[in-house]
Amino acid sequence: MDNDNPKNIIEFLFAQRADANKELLIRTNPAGIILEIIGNPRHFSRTNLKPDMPVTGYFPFLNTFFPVTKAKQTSLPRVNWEKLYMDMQLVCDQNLESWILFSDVTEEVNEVEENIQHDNDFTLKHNSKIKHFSFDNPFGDLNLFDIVTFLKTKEDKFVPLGIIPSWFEQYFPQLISTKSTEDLLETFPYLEVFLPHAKSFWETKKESLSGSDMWIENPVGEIELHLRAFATNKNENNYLLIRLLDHDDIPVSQRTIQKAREHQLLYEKLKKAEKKLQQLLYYKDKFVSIVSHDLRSPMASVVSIAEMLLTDQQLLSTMSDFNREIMQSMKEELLRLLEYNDRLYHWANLELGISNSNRKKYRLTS
Amino acid sequence: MLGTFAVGKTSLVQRFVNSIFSEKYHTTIGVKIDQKKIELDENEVTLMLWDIHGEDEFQKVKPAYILGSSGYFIVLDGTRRNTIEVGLKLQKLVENTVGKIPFVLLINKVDLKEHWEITDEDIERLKALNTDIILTSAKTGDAVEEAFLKLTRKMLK
Repeated sequence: MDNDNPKNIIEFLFAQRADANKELLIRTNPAGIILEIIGNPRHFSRTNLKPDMPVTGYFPFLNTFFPVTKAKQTSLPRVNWEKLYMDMQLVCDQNLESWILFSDVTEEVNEVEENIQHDNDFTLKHNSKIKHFSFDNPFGDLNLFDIVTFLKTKEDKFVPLGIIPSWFEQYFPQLISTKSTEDLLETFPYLEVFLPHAKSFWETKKESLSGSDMWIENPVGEIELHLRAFATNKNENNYLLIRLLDHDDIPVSQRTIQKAREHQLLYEKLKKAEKKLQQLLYYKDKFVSIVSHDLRSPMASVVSIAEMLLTDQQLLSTMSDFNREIMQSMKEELLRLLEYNDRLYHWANLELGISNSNRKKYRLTS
Repeated sequence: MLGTFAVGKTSLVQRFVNSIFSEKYHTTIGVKIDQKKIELDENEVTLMLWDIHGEDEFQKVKPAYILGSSGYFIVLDGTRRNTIEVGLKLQKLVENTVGKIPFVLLINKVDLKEHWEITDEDIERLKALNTDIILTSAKTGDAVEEAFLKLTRKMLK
């Protein structure tokens, strides 16, 4: 572009946008006194813009750009002024006259805000104290969603924008001014992981969001802050957003994972207890099996002795009827006990997984 | 700090940095970074401790968290034998991401030794990793400082 030719400047500046009703071009002298007004001034200022007046009287945020000392072309950070969001381009020509193009981008910003709100399901807060930093936030009052917004400059500096949320002001006041990447990393070392991703995202110039995982900061004592960072682009500018997550949003996932892991631990404990129980049951069955096995022989011996006595006619003839009945009854009880012991032995072996089958042939027809 | 969930990574860091211990299990979501300055052989060393969430089916450790690390702990829970498998997997992940850097294997919860599932034979097998194995207790503080100093020394070599 030839900065010496005002016609080219006008063409160039207006070519940036399509809707002339939402644009305003002001030419000033090096001191910032208005020389010419082109476009739709009423759309941008409630007071009537007049030539020969300082442009900073209408737009005080331009104060730092006057008086002009050298020719330059600058895209200013987006500002929120009198309910409008504006993009501005400032071109100073060789005569040190300035051409300032204002473009109303309110609709665009509102749309982005809606998208951000929708994408992230932000909860509106009402307790944020108001602290302005030097530039307005192009995304609006993101502080209401506990978000602090940084503009990333080409020199990799981070400039906080707009109203600073109270949590950030309280815990990280050292970052409420233009900071280098190193300064940012000193406070938030986690960003060391996210910034390379953010850098790749900024290069895409996409105006959507790329978010980090959650990380935790302990700014003081037991205060635990859960944070997430996002990278986004707007009008070819790069932005870093840091959001404080609260009980209503983040920890939903945290609580779910916490519960799931608690259940997993409980399950592991139950499995362990079950294993222990199985072991105890095994020992019990083994004990019963051994004891019942070892009782078999002495019990069988006693039964044999009883049988022997009951078949000894000489002995029986010396006994009274009552004693013979007692002897018979003793033998029957011992046989019942032996059978019961046998059943116990077989049951314990079955529990232990030891089973012996006895095969026998039966004729079903006579 | 790498390991599966509930092995005691956060507790070890809290014991080392703040000398505190909580019985309550509080899962780490994301990453928590602590800083601790220590005196080692008349030198002051600042450790940036990245307490990374436990690895399981809900959360996977991203290689990006490991890039730039100078050393690491693989933390196992002595009372849970299945923590070995995840620990070994994470050790491989680190090696594949940043190559061979110093690490120390911590088997935590030594205060519950009578309930341990990790056996002496397991520990013998873990020696194949060719690194120090330290039995720690975040609860009692047993060998916690020793572990951090050991890793720091290895990193400074």
